[in-house]
Amino acid sequence: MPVDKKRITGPEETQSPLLFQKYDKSSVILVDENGKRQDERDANDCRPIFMKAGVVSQAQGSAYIELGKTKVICAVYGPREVLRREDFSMTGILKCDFKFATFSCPVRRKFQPDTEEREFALIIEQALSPAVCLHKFPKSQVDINIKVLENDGSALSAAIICSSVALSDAAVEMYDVVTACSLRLSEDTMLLDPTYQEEVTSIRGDSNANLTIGLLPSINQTSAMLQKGHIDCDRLLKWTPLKSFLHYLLPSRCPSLLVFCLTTQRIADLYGGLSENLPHGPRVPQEVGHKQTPTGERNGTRRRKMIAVSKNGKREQNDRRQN
Amino acid sequence: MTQPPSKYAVVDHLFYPMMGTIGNADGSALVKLGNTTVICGIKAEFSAPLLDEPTKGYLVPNVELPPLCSSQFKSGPPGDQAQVVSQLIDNIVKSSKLINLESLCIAEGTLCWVLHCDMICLDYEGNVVDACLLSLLAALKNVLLPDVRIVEDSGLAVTSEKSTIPLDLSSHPVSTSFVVFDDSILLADPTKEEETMATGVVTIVTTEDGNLCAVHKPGGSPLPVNKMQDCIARSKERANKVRKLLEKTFKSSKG
Amino acid sequence: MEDVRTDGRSCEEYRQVEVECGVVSNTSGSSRLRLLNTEVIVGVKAEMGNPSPSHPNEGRLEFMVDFSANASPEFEGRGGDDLSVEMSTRFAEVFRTQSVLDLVSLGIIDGQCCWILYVDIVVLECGGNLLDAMSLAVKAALANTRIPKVTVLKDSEGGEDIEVSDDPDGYNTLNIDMVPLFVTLSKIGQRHVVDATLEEECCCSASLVTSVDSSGKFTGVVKKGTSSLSNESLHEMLQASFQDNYLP
Repeated sequence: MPVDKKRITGPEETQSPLLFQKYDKSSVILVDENGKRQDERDANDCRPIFMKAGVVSQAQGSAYIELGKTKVICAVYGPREVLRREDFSMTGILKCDFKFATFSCPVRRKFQPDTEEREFALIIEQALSPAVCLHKFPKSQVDINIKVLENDGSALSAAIICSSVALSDAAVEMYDVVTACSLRLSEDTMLLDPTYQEEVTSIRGDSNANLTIGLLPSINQTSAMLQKGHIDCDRLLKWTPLKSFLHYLLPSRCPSLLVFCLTTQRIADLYGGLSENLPHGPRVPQEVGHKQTPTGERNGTRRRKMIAVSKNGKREQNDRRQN
Repeated sequence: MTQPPSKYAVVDHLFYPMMGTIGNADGSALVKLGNTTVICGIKAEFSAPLLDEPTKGYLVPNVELPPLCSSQFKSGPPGDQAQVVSQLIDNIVKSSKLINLESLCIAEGTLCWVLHCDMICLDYEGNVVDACLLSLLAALKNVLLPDVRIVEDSGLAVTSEKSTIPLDLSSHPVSTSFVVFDDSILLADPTKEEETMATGVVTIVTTEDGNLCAVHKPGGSPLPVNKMQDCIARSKERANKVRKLLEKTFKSSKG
Repeated sequence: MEDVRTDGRSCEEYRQVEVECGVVSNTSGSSRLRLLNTEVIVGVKAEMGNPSPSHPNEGRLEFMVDFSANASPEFEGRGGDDLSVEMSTRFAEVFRTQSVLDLVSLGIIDGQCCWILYVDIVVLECGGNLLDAMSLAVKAALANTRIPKVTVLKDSEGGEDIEVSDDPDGYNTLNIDMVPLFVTLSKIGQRHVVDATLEEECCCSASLVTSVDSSGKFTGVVKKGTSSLSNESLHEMLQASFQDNYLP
């Protein structure tokens, strides 16, 4: 192993104390006889969500989300010039940097991004691309930096929601705000929004799978899908959780989206009603030499298309010109 | 400029620590100095002590300035500034005897604790050193370690399920940074804007018994001796306030 | 709409597959696969190593994908690195699923020694649909893999010694019945196709990579590409991947 000269290094080999903890794996259950999960939720309950936009003062847009104990922060920079020449593209591109903080998981993570983090970054890029008007900022990129501060399950779906809120906070033109949800499938249970413990606990039997789906709610299309673990094709297709799961994700039923709407509404109320449904007006990009947006329009008259939330909780497309 | 730079102005930003925010970490704290936000999480792991220091554990502080916190940072390995701040914090930890490393030893020569202290900047608006050191101190204060027993016959360690043992901190170093404008104006707790415009930076670390622990002045415009003494006096005063606040937060987070 | 593609195949039809096993003599198992223009060689090396602390009684598999610069000009230099990481992750992810392979049988001494199977995939020619071709080749190579028999001897002081059988017939094979195959479904226009050629991949805006095992179970599904899919097409595509699992 080469020595990492850029960091303060500790001893080479360390072991997590969790490996030495004694606990009986067979006693772990997902759902008790009353149908309640370990944290007293029903199988179809989501954990409470807290969300806040505009948390990083230096970024064009940012958001913070708590999904139960899972905490994710996301900052968006750009649109700005593409950094790598080989990334040049006539439409805009999204660049996602996804990282678990070293202390976010029960076992310590390394500083270098591992394969899971790279995979998640790619999935988030692809989940958000259909929602962003990429043709509006040709030859430039938007950097989406995501840090998971604590992982208590459903980190990917939290990251997808968080980054799409951050994008809308950065006034990047979007068709839709992407929402996401995770599901834990095992032999006879189907748990919405699983905790870390529920994600990793495997029950003896055939089916043990985790499923994450990202959805564009206004056109009802799936933009991300990741499933790991064993699941019966029949089950996934026919009488299956999938249908009902997608059903949950429909705007009217999706708890996470609903809470998202409520959060934006709360932010909106805070900042003086619905006409200003995001915490900031159009932001002047902070970098020097960026006086004009890459689309060539002046900042003041930038058109913003976004999802507004009306008082009665219904969503509406809002296309307006801000001055 | 957000604040008019009056002579010897010492303006404290809103200062806001929060402890025990991350459940998966053994100790954690979030510190906000104005907009600058640093989160510190501590993970304790097992390792073997060094051969020449068989009774000592390790404390490994690392500062991360990810691209998330400001557009000036790139992703990848830590940049120059992150390395400098990490090194500075490591020096402060070592020289202030912040923690008695021998208390981290479990079995002499075979097993000890390694405290990985990772400070991540979430919002970079200047004065990251003060925020990092403060977050580290606050996080160390709420570290709880599990009880470790070594089973006689197998020689393997068994940890208790609940973590109950707090760390024994022997000193509380607090740093105060100033920026210097052409040896006439001193500003405490500088913002990013002030840092870029200033002609020099000086960081002074004091411990609670009023001793100087570290002075860091990496070049810049020269500072007259009387100004330096002024800095030290001010930093002592502020450090005491900060320590009181820290204590208060610690009590409220427990109770 | 007619069910005919530019090369005359129907939407859910694979190209001709040729598989050859045991092509590289100094590996534990190997295979070469041609899917018309796509050519892949897989070599499996069995080596002894330390098990991961979280699964002390199991062996493990390590995947490495290498793109030959001959396969496509874009793989020159470090061009294929991102893709290679992405693809090896997909394999690692699928093989992490319980019951795909009996990893416990690869353990030798609890917590100390296990078999590590290094699966190296070399792409020689790229004619579209790489993942499906690779998974098929990997399955063939694993079927062909011979792992020497080992016996653990206990010496008088309680230490353990490993003895590897030198009998040429003294080997174990892996049970590959449950090793899944990837089925990539590419959405082109209003339809989805399997086994897309390079040209078809260029027109495809979104695809679904599923891995399906012989008992008709999904072991992994991931959506790729920059477009979104409607519920109906998602459902259709998942259904199709199930039906297409007719390959050897």
